[in-house]
Amino acid sequence: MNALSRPIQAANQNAALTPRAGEAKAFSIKGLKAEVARLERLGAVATGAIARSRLHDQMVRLGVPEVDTHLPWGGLPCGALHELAGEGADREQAAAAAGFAALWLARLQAAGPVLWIARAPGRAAIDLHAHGLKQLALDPQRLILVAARRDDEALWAMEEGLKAKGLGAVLGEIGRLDLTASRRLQLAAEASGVTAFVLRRWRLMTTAEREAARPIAAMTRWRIASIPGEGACHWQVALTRCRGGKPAAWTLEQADGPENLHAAPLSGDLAEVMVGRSLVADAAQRAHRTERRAG
Amino acid sequence: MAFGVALGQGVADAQALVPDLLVQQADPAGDRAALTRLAEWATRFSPLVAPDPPDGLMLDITGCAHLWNGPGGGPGNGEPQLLEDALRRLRGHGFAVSGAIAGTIGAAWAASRFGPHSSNPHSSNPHPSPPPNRRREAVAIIPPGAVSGALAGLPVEALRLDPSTADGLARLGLRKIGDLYPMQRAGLAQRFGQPLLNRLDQALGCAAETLSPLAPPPERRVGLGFAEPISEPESIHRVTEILVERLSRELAEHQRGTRALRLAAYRIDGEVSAIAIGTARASAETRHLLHLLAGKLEQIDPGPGIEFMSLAADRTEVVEALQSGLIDPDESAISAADLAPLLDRLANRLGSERLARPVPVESHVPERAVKLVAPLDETKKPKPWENPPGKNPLWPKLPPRPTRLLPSPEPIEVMAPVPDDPPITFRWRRILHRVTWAEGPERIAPEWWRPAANGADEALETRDYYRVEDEAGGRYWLYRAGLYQAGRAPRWFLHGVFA
Repeated sequence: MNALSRPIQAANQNAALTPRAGEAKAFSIKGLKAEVARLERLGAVATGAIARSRLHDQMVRLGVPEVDTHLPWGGLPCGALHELAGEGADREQAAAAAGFAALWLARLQAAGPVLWIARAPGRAAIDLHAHGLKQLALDPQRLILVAARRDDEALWAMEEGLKAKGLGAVLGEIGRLDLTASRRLQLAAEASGVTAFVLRRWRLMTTAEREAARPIAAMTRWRIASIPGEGACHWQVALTRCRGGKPAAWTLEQADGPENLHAAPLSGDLAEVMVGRSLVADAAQRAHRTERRAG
Repeated sequence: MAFGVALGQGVADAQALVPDLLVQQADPAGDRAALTRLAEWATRFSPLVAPDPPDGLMLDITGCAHLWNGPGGGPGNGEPQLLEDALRRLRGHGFAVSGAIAGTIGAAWAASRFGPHSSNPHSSNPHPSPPPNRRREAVAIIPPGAVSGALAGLPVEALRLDPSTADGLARLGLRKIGDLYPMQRAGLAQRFGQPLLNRLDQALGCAAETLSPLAPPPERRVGLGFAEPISEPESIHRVTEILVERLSRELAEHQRGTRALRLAAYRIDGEVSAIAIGTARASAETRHLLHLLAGKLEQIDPGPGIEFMSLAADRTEVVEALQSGLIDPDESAISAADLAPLLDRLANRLGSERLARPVPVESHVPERAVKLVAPLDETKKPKPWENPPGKNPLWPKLPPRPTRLLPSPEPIEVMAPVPDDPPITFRWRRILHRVTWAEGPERIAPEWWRPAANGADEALETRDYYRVEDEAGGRYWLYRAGLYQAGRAPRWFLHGVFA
């Protein structure tokens, strides 16, 4: 499903790898796309891991039409790695980003419990509040928390979670993440069909600047900024990178109760948002450019 | 001891006797640690080993000795062989050691230190505590029923008395334990106190005395000794496989599973290298247990070689047959059978105290309203997170709660116009936040029926919580501790961050 919207350049890169690509099929874009999908899935099929997941090749909808229809898959693809990060003070706290993550996780909990790997020295120091998450529709009863002291522990735990069967999603609070580590997560998620999230959390702003601009092998990258909303959840959500899709930004607000999430009138594509909120949009574009260069 | 140097002498005196005496600082802590290590080593003879500071080890060898009887069950009960083996190995490691086997702790203590085989009789020693480095090479086995006879000839110090009691007894001419037998108990108690009688009774088996072993004995244990020491990782892995197979077969026979395993490798240099794993659910599955152990096998340091390995199941439970597909989804939100292997892997690498599942607690105090329990701990049926629909809401719907709740509230500097109003600005972690919107207060009263968590008064203070929003859009949960009191600056804390 997600392969149907891959950019055509990707197909050309892979076309030479297969003898069938040179034949009649090469003329039809649809055929090429199918070919790419076949190649991309080959590893997962070979290991037999692909059939295990109920959600594989599926996607999950946020329930906000503006966001869902913008994503080339019609929602967030399962069995892939997604990155979420806060803006400003939230880069350290990761409260708004955790809230946005909770919305997605809540929708993935139907497939199985969610493994949330938090940054904490012990379980007593985990700073998530289950009652708060519950108010964002995440069911605490289907939530397993893991306290990881360091990034390598968190990454290891994420990979173990992605390899196991029975989980709905795995989220890890990660500070430093490089291309190799993120690719490992992406491959593990692809193989098992379990959706992976990295929730970026940085203590130092300098680290944050550097890490946020670094390319990683995520299917989508999101930046979530809290904006004034008279106490209600009110976010500027920017999709800074989307494999096979365009970056965009929306303003989301949640009046009362998780079911009432909707995009505020200010929503639109990146160009439109740049006028109103240059900071977020700039960040989005910068990240996008960096990734294009790297990729 | 040679040259007239004796225990308890001043260093100057000793140096006067032996001018080139080598003097070293005593290291009681190091000695104790070494004794504990030695006790661990001694678990190869019996699982019940208690270090007896400063210089003794107590082993409860009930039911163990026959294993030393040799193949085919030679004559005797194996006790001499066990003692001989233990002493030989200890001497091999360079210890000057003497030992004894007796029916009571007191008698064994006495016989091992003051027994007739002891090369150095103690009757003339003014210091009752036996010297730790005295060369003693006694072997004594006191058969049951012969305890009082065997002890009669030993000095009274052998009863583990404090020096003043022993001195007092000596002054009365009571030098041997046998001298105490005909004495009036009342008189002894009057003069020397009850401890003397207790020690006497304990040695003779008239009063109970228990060992406090290093570790509680495992419920099941299997072991394997090798003719040649092993050290290659492959051999260790293979031995582990054999041990796990044997243990899980034994467990399966009794329909039990284990929650904790300890694999110990006894090295030829006397050290013990051990690893431990735990499981979330009782398991007797060879593959699962082996997988968990295999992840830690590299932590076993073979040193110069391993001569004996044991695998002990410390906590065993009856295994219930799993019906993973049939669990009512409402009953068990986390499907235990599927997730147990994952949780075990996480717990064994990170530690089980790092895994948690939140359960609700009926408390208004935010940090108490959620308890983090072990993920598969289903000993108690968890309370529901919501009131069941249709029921009278006993527990009212919670006002908005933050996504992030700081593990402990952090004090903030606040500017508030009126004591009862939310702040206009506050400084948290050195950053000034200008409040643009606030809602509150939500008053949370102290739970006086619960003791304060850390003895502080804070837990017993009323808190007024405010939800505030700053210019940048950050939403925070602040509270003022205590009620307003004239002349006392209100204390403010930041407790959480909203999404």
